Amino acid sequence: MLAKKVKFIVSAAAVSVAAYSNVAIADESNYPSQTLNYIIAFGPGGGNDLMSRTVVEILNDYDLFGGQNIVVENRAGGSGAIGFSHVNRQHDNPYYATSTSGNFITTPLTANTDWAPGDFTPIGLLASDAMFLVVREDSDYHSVDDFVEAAQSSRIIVGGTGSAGPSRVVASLFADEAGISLEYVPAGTGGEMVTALTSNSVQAIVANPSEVAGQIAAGNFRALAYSDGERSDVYPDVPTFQESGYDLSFSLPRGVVLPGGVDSEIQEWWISALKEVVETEEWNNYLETNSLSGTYIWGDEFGDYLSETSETFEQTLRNIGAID
Amino acid sequence: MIEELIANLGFGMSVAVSPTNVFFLFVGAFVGMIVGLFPGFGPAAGIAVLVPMTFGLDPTTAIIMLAGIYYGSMYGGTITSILINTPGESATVASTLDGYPLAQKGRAGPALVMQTFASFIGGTIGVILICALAPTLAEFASSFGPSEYFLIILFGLLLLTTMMGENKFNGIVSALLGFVISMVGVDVISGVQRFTFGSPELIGGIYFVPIAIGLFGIGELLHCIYIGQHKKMIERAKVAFRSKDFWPTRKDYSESKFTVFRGSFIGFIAGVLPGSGATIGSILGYSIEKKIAKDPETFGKGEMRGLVAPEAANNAASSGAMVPLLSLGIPGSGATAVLLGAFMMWGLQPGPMLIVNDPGFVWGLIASMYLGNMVLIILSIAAIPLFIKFLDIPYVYVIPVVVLLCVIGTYTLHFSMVETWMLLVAGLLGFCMKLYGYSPAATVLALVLGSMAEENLLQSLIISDGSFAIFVDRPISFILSMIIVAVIAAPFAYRAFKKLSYSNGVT
Amino acid sequence: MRLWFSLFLFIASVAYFIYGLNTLTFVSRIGRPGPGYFPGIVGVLLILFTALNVIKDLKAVKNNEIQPFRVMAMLLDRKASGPGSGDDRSYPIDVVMVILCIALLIGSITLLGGLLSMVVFMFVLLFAMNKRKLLVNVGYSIALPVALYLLFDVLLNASLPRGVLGI
Repeated sequence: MLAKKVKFIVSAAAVSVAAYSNVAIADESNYPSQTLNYIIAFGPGGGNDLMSRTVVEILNDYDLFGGQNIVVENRAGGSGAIGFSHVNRQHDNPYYATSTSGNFITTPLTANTDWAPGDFTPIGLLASDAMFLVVREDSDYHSVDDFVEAAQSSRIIVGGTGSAGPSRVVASLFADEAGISLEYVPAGTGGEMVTALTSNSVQAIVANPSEVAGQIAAGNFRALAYSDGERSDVYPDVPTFQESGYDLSFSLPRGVVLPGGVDSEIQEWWISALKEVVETEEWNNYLETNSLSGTYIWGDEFGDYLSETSETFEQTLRNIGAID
Repeated sequence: MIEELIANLGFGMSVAVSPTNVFFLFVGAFVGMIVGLFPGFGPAAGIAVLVPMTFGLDPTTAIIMLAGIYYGSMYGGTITSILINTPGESATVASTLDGYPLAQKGRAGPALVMQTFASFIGGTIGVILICALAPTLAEFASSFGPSEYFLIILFGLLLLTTMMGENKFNGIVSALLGFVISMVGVDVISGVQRFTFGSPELIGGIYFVPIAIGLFGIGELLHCIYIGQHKKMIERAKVAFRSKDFWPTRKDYSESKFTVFRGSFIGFIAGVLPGSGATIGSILGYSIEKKIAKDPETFGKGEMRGLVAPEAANNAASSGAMVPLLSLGIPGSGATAVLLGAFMMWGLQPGPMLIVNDPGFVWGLIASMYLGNMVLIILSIAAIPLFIKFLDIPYVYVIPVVVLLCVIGTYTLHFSMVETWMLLVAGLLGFCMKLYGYSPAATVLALVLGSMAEENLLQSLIISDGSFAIFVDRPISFILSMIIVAVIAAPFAYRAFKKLSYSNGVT
Repeated sequence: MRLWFSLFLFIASVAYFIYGLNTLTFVSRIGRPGPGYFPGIVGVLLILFTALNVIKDLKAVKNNEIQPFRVMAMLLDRKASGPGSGDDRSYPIDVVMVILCIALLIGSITLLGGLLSMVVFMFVLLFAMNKRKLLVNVGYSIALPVALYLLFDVLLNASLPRGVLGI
């Protein structure tokens, strides 16, 4: 929103032209030699915003960006469509960067965008944001098996955020795997989803750990399973779906990408810079306060991971009829 | 209970009281007062126009500043009610009834001072009640599921549109227009794009702030020009400063000491009901005071109690309106709807979880409302002469200030030209609505609540497997449904009753 | 004039309903309310209430309570402006002018840049509405935009657009 745009106060007339077309691409040997534009495709205060600002803060505090300025700009709108499109249009410009999250995958699948996850230069996955299957503390379900058993004989309603988001994907992967059918109710925000469960309107929710952390700590909710491949560092007691015998693993990519066509040396430069970022205490504090797991995948492997996640999503959305 | 209340308020104070926050509270209250002096500009318009200015600030500071603007503009509107018989907005209409006659009698000074005290006490009582009520209500609200939410939104909009007065159809059409705008974008339930016409700018929906600024800001401005505000010579009542007559007499105080409490409680209750808010609070406060007075004939001719009651009530109602906003995430008035939009901009999720997840924010805000009251009493007593000077500025010079604040403010939200043009379109719509007796406030409220209402309705129907029985099966839903039926049926029953007693009387 | 606005709302409601009906499904495949369910209900209610308003206004026109062409006559012929004088006078021409000025401001903001377009807007507006005080107008047209520029661009760090002249 309140973008802190770079002020090219050099000389008059030529300025506005220079700002858009003429950004001289520095030669790779002395990268970085200019101001970096870190674009956040969402409004202030959300998960993507928080992660982006944490990364930029660490880059600044530890002087990892070669003493150059970093300008952070929120370009919200269209579930990320507008911000990611803005970055995508800076083809081969290494002075733009942005953070990925769930919408980076889902928006191009559900809307007409002029970009796809594969158009960007992948740098690294910095954290994975998996989902919990959560029930009320006073419910009869103590394990995933209890839950599946109940679902075989009665109509179970599961809440989540969004009609085609990660909650939906996890719920439907789980239902397929367990051979049960679940009634899925989409809520607009995490808060609404949580009240749907506290008010006993739904029997369970598929939620991001950070959305239910308060209720779990207060002893109102119980997490039955975690959708990542490994247990969460913050909730070591919650088993994964795989441990419980249901073969599914799904998490959201919270990572960093640059516009497409960026030189591979620059890509390497960024990988090593971000490897330093994730070593810092600040980063680990961030992971802990937001109930995220630190999973790191670098470079082109991150690109592969993005396309795999995208395929899982597409398949699920096709199955439930959200896209054709 | 009391200890908890004090502990909560103390915690809030610790969040709110920092030099920066207090500074911005002052700035907000001051700017709010000035904006409130513009004809037609009440709290909703004031907050909408000034929201962009708070974006550079830290969320808590920003909201504290907005709370200052909220109170300040309310207060500014009262000054114009008393001195030039022009209420800034509907909530201060009741204040003109006795406020202006008082000023005509040469008692403008005491009227201004008394209304400041009344506002202060009303606001303070409101804050105390909010502290007592908000946590309890938030706890209660966590047993609200989609069906209860849908019903309470329906109830709020129903109150708003049926109490709108002259033409109920217009109130309903205004609210429906808000729903229409709220439906643009991706539907939460089905994930389908609606009314986007393939434009990527519209996928995320129509952003509510430019619409609010357009409807309230530009719309009011155009309407004021239409009625010739810029051609009129402003005639205002004279105020005698630096004289004994500026201060209220002992009689003024002793007469209205109970009035102020009655007004505060009535106002607070009206504020808590979703959809009613300060306007109804102040009108109720005035009419009840008049009804119980031994000398009702003095009302309307410059009776101090007739000013104190609505003033205490509208300030208590402004606090009261925060209760459904903070505990349910449902705004009760145009102004709180704009505040809700601002909350969401900061990534806060209004609803029962807010007080659990962000206690610092909630209590900080409540504490700042209390501080805001104190700031106002200081500002208003010290700066009444200054504010009155603002009234003498010809309206022609006010026009560009309003236009530029609206346009530049909207542009800097997202640097979007589409939204800036939308502002102008909303302004035209707001002007026509105002001119022909529609309610822009109902539109804004429905715009904010529209997607919530739809989502909760559809969620309820998914949960119930398509059956509407869910709205009477759950106990709280049942009570709410009954209340709604009663609200709809009441006017008919009243008419039937009147007919019946009339025919009985004849025979 | 009221009639035209009521008519406009009625036609817009019908268009909204038809467009919604054509693009959205009322009930989903599995018999649940679909994405068109709520818009459908809202559309029907809108058509109903706006139609009632149109009928009411038509009746009022018939009884000569409102004159649908008055404002148009006023726009065409300045002398006809306003019924009578004093408080009841209205100023539709001034409203149209302010609207045009705002459109000019928004239209020129990317071309001229934030600061310059504000100055031009103010000058045009004040020149049209406040002819007599030329000097005050010029001074004010420069002072206010500069103040707002400093407030937004410098203090709040929300950069206004830069135009062809670089300011």
